[in-house]
Amino acid sequence: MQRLFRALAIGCTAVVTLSAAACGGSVDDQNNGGSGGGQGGGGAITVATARGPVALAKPATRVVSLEWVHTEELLALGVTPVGNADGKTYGEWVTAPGAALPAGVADVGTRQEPSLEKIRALSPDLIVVDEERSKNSYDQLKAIAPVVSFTYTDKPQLRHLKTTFTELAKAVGKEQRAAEVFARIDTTATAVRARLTKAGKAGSEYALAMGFSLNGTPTIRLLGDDALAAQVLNLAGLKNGWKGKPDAWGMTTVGVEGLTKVPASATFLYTANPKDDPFTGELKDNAVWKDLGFVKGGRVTPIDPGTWYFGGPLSAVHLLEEAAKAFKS
Amino acid sequence: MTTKAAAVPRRSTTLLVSGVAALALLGVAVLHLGLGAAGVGVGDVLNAVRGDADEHTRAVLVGSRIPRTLAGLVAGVALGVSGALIQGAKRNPLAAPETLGANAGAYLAVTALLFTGANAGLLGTGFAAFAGALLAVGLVYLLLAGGLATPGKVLLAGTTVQLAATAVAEFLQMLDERRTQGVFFWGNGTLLQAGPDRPLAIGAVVALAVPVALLLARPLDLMALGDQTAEALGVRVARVRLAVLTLAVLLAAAAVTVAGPIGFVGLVAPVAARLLGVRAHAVLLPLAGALGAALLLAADAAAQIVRPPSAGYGELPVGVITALVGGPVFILLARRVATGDADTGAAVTAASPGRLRFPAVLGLGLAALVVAVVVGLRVGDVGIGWARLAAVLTGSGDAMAESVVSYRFPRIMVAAVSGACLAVAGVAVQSVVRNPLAEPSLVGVTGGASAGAVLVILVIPAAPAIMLPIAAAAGGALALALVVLIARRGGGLDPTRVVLVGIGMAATTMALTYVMVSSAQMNIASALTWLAGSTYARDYDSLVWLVVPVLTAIAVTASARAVDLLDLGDDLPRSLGLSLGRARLMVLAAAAALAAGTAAAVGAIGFVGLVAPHLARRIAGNGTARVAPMAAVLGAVLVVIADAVGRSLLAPSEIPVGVVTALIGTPYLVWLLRRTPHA
Repeated sequence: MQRLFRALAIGCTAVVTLSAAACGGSVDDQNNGGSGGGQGGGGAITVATARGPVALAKPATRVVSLEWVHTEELLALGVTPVGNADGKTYGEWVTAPGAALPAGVADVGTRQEPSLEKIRALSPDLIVVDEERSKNSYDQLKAIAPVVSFTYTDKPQLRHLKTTFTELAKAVGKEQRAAEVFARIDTTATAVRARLTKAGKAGSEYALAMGFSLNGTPTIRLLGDDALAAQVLNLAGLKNGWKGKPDAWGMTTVGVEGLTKVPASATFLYTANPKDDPFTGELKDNAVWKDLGFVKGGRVTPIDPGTWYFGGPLSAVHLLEEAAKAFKS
Repeated sequence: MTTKAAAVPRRSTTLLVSGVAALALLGVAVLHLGLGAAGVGVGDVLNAVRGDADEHTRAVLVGSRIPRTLAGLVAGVALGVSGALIQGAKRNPLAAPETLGANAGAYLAVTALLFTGANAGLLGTGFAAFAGALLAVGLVYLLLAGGLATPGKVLLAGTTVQLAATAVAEFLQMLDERRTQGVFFWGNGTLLQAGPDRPLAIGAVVALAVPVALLLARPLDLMALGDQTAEALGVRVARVRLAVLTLAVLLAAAAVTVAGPIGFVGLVAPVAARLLGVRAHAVLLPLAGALGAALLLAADAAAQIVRPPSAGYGELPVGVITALVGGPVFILLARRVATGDADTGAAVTAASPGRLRFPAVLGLGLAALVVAVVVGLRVGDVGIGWARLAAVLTGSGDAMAESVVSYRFPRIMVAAVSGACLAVAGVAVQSVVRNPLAEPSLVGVTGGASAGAVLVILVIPAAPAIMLPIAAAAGGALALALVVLIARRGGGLDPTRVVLVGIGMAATTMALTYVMVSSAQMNIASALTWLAGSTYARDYDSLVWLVVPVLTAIAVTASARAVDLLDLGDDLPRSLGLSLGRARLMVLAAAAALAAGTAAAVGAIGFVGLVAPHLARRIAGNGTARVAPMAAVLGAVLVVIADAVGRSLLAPSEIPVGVVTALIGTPYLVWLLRRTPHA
């Protein structure tokens, strides 16, 4: 039926000659030059993805990333992607050391609807996508190059990140490097724990938030223990004071009143665009805000606005360093 | 329309009703003050009233609760009075700030202001909202200029303007994804405030406007007797009406400034006041204000109880609750209303057809389609020149050009076929309703399709992609079936009532969709894109979904004579011994199959079903046998162009095709209705 209609549809159009190009979808120049020769040494690679195993003949070198966390991971592995989605805003939201996008990485459009043509023109040998976002384009991406898709929010997020990061590293032949990079989270956490102990802040309680406002109404997202960012801070012995009911990402969205559920003794760490910081803006004179224990105690600490809570290992290390600074250790 | 005399109710009734309303408002306000995340309950609120509250309670009340309750009072009173003024001026129980487009206009203006990044402050925002609301209502009046402004026509025009303004606002939001969720929330109305400043300032404006409204109570009472009677009694009707509407728009803009575009409060509150037996505007206006405030606060309280703050997904926008309540109320009212359109004859009149013969015109249209398709193949993110494109078309293209064309061609095909089907759907709906402003999305099909699809995304996240279109088609068909079922009274099918019930159905299903989307927080970006209508990454498989619509379109064209009879109104066919009920039902079902099937393939694409048939009539003259094919060709051209614009304007980022058709359709609408005053 499908095939029949396809033929019918093409037959109907005046441009019959198109059918060859259109129907075939023939991307038969798959063995594009690229930069051949993998460092992983010839053998076939199998990557476990959200859609089952994906086989690669050799480690990929021309990678297009359609989700920020994977862009960051590739950069951490020493692989500069040839294409990246939402490149303009990536630099604004992900500022962890080592995660900066080098000049010359092509912007392929939005993460939701990336430009298939642009990706095709880049002749990638691997495309990394978020499983949730890529549902409508997966088949067509797969026709361009092997696609590895990952989910982010599987629990526990930190352990899941290790799995997906390692699988991605396999695809680019950098497993060794992945282990080293990921271990940096632990070493940083240990170092931060020591610094906190030295400063007398070991085991401190915190609340981790991001804030923005809309038409003068502040909106606050608090990260619970299901969220990767909180799990990373907990590695350093810090204790999450936020126990609100989490959404799929592990966050709770609240107004200012919700902050009354943050323990008074906690330190309030937050990211906000300096131009749109509700905590120094609209809420500054708000009675509830001024009455909060951590506000009265002067424990409100903005951290680098580019600390990306939903990132990979580099963002995790960056968050730990920012938290250590916030606790003045 | 009901033109009952403004009977003066007995003083005791008035006193009783006013007293009960005041008590109800007070009770709801206290309950509302007692709700929130901070664990300060009604008991604490009552204690605080007695001056017996600790520092914490006082802080929560001053910093959060009172501003929020105040916002509800201010916005509710503003909307209630605004609605009562509009209903009084229009003598139309379905007219309200939202059905006249005022809310959406104000919302668009504020969104645009935010988008420019200008920090306009409260004053600037307020002015922008007022200007936007005035423009929108002005546009509605342009659409109606010259013709007889029956309730059905007013609402169609208002809803069309509302759709246009909302689509443009959505486009602005889509340009900045990280904010989408926030705007999405505010865009549905919220009483959340940063402090008491804003509700107090806007409250002052409302407090000044309400007494002015009361000055107009007497003329409004007289106008309820009919314009001519009122004139005879010394009321300068045109002038009073202008003053009343301006004031109503100001109040609506005030409400939007403080709480976002909240629908249906301005509609339901005055209706409720009338149901309580109050007719005199001196009582009706303040009573509608009080009931509006009570309703809004009750809705906000319900939202907080249903989904408690700190429940992960964030709050449920109060505007969604008012739409869930107000949508069905609107449907009930629409069911009762006498539309005034039942026997007005053919409202779908054509401009004089051009001099060219029909085959020539159709041929030109097809040529335009071929040009649009070829240009569509040429433009896009990756540049392939004419030479390379020509090489592909002759079968000797390079691999890169070939694969680029292999992305563009199927989606252009999907765009063309969808456009054609939507256009024929528009022809079908307009024949039944006999109104050129009727659009498939107005009869509730699109809303039902969206609700169906989102339900599947939500309930079965792992559902295969094939489920989505099936659910959309089922939802659309179900919604239309309900609309027809409800609109049928005594066996007859009043065409305008179908659209009115459809508007209520659309609002209800959209509210349901929002509830579902906001629960599935993660998928908001993808759901929004889909709802906006997208041809992104569509391949030949999507064409399969269009088989049924295409066959339906052919059937509609083939049975052109039967469809034409619908244009004649009720009397003539009846005198010829023809029953219109069944024909209408069949054509409506065809429209549902067309619109829902298309929605299954590409989501909700608006304005094609409105613009294409209208242009077709201008070019090809009357008669479904001519209009349907011509509209199909024009619809195809329009969506193919919109697809090309969406792919290339912000490349590599895409603009959903539904947003582009709205951006193209809106100015066309303005232009078209300026030129044909009797539309």
